Amino acid sequence: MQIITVYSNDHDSIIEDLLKKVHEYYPVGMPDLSNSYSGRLAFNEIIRQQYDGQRPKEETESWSKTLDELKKLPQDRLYDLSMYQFPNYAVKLTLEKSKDQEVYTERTLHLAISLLTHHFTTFYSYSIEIESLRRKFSRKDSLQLGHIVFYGKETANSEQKDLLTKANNIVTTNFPDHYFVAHDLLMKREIEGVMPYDEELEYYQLRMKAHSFYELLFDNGILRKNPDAKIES
Amino acid sequence: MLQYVYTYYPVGAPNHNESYPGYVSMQKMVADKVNGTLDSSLTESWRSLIKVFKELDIEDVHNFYGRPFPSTLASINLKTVGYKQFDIQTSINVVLSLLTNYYTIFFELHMTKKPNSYVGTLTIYGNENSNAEETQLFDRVQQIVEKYFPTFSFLNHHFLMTNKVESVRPYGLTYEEYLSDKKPCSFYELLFDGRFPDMKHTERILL
Repeated sequence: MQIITVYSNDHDSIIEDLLKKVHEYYPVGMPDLSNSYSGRLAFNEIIRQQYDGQRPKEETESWSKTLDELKKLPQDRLYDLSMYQFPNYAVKLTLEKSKDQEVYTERTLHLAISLLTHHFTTFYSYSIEIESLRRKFSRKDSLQLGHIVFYGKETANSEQKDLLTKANNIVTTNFPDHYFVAHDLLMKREIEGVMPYDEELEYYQLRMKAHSFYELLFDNGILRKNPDAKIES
Repeated sequence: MLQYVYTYYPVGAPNHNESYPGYVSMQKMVADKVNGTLDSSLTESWRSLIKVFKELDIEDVHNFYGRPFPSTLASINLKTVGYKQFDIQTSINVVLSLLTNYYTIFFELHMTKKPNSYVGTLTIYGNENSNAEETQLFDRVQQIVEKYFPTFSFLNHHFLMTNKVESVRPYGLTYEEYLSDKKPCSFYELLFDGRFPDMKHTERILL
């Protein structure tokens, strides 16, 4: 199975497909309809099925195979994030952690397979934090004193590129109908007038923030936890 | 209705109108309409409809078929009541959306100040607020539309005008124009008629 790589200048049809999916699952433009919107109910149903172990057997088997194969890759530790409340299969592999006196660095490989579209994405995060401050303040505060970068193939070195390709191949073998999309396309493209599923209407109306395809269709946590993250391709 | 809006507008990404397939098909419909290459049975029915309207007990019919929007609109002028300071004209509008196979009917009340022609207020209302005579005409008009366009269904204008969608750029507006005046857009504006022109000294009251 060949991986379809989408670069940021040749993506009109991908954007269109993703926008269609956002329209299907979120009442974009009319966020006050969120709780009764049919797509939103379908969205909740997928989460319920995941929790109750009612996803198709074929799919859960593909996921456990994917995990087994990912475990064989060089890594420090693997975290299965598929039980976080979002219709996806997600995993993170911590690759290297180091602590030089106060400075704490971490490199992680992220992988998210969306159950809302037929797409998946993989990317790295690299974070630097100052340990003592991290203990002292809340996580968000300490991050402003450190930083986090999300990056993919373009920025990665040859070794990291190789690992990404391996991870992508594992997904495309086990989920043959899922296609790769570059993470920066998903993170940088933002949709207005849409309320993420775990947000309250009052809170949404206060901020009126735009949300990325990544947050809406792949994973709701990582960008919210790291609002100041730098996104590279 | 929201699904129809999604078909024709990239809601949430208002800078993408011109590359969105639904929006492009809308532009094509307008071009077809203006060039007279639209489905001939539709134009025939519309012509017959206007003819029948003219036979009603009314003052005049304005046919706004050629407006650059994928809909057809007829405005039937009923009567002008003259007062000392101003004139009030009532008209009944019929709009068929070619995007949705729905149509709507509503009244418009123009207040024109004498002697020049500035419009003071414009009130728009449906059959709930009309008097007995108007209601009768409303029903008559609805019957005529149903006769000539049996595949179209009626939708209440109040529903269309008060339900609004945000983060969508209405038909015909450039992105810059949209950014300078970002406001929610009603189903009526998106699927039936385009953005309402902002007339100076005009106050629109929806009833």
